[in-house]
Amino acid sequence: MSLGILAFALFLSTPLFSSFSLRQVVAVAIDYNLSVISLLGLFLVLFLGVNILSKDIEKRSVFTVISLPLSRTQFILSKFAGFAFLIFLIVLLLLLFAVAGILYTESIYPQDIAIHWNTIFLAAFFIYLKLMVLASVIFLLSSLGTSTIFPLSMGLAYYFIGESIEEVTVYVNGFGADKVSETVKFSVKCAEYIFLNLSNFDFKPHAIYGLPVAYCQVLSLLASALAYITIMLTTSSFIFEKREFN
Amino acid sequence: MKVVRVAIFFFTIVLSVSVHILTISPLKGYRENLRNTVPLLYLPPVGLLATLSLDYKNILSEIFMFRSINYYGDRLLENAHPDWEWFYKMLEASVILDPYNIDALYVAQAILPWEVGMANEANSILELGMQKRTWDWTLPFFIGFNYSYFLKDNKNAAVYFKKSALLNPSVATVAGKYMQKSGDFLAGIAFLKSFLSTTTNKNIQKSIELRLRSLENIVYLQRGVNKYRKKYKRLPSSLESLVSEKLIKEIPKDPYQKMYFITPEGMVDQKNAKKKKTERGKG
Repeated sequence: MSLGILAFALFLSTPLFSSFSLRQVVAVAIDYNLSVISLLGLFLVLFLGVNILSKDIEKRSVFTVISLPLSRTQFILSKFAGFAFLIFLIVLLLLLFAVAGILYTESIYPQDIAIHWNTIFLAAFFIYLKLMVLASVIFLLSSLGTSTIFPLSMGLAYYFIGESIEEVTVYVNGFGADKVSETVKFSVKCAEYIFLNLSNFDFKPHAIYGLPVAYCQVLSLLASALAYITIMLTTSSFIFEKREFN
Repeated sequence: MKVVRVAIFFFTIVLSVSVHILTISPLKGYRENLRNTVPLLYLPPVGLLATLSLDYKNILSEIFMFRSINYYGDRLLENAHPDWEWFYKMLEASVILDPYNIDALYVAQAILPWEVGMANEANSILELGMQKRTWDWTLPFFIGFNYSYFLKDNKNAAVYFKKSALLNPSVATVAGKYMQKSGDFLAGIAFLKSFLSTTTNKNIQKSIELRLRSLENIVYLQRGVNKYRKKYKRLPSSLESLVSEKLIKEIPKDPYQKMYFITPEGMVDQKNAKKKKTERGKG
């Protein structure tokens, strides 16, 4: 219900916010909607995600589940699948209202520039995939800790690192190269392998400016995200299998 | 059974880690290409930005400033023209979010008028800072300098030099010198040297040093032309004749790969020698 209200608010506020722009009203509408989907998705994944496993462990309701004839890996994977489906439905709902908002804005402020719907849907899909990467990280963190604070704070930290790692890498290897020590450069290099560069999932410039998207890029990103989610889930199942609850 | 599960676990991990590592490099390549074609921060209208940034105006101002310098540095390394409109908008947004952000104000002054002649735009950004940094004599001084040196508008320059002198009386003599020599390259060199001594950012330092070298070359060649004119009572046919007459050692190379030439009025100027790699931003 509250999500429905939020989605409707998104639809209503789109033309209002977009009208601030003098030259590119529709571009602002696209950017605003995709950003809101990404931000709301982030909040949902963080706050709902930590409750999925951690709450079970914290409230000890996990005991009833592990006594069932179901392996712990199956337990983790089905929890993740359910959560992924829930987030998918939410993103889809928000996207539907976003499309309506963009169309409504275009009808009020007609523009000569064409709207690239394919790229907008692609951008929304990759926002969803980014949320799934984050969700898988939260699952791993939840399987390690006993409280909800740990996965929440570390998940947030992961998000900030993932979003800023590209800028840091560019700085460290470019103009900041002579300013930073070799140790820092090595640490950044290691971080590039440990944290997924979440800027890779940002297709907003493509959706706004209609930039071409290479199929290879989409496939590489898809493979990268799926591989990363698999690493996170396999490791969390392994930890969960070995973990003793008492 | 347990062995099979452990084997599946290891196989899955090894496969996923390999895919993860293998995709890092191509994805990095795609992002680099994108960074080279369009500045990677879409900027919503500033009125909207100020509202949306809530309690994070200062940090956002710093982020914008950091992004713009990074972008400018990238372009400098690639020897390609930045999207100046975007660069200006970024700095403007940074100052609107935090008018006290002296970094953004200095970058605006160090780059916009010197690199692309956006003196009016630099002045509009500096004005924003001036409204808040009421004690800072450098901002009206910069505006005055831009009016005098770039826009040849001594009337407005005087207004701002006066404002600056009210905050720092020692400015009065310097300002007088600039106004007297409005448009003089020596005044530009003196200004850039004083600016360079207060700048710590490597990107900005590099940019100022290039500009300084270019101006110093012009002054060097102009002295040669003046000597020739004094000796032969006419203008040299080309700069090469200054070398053959041993009035200068050689024609210095312009740091921007431009060509020096003598105008019909006997002034040394520059023009594009070859077409540079250019880029147009969108939106």
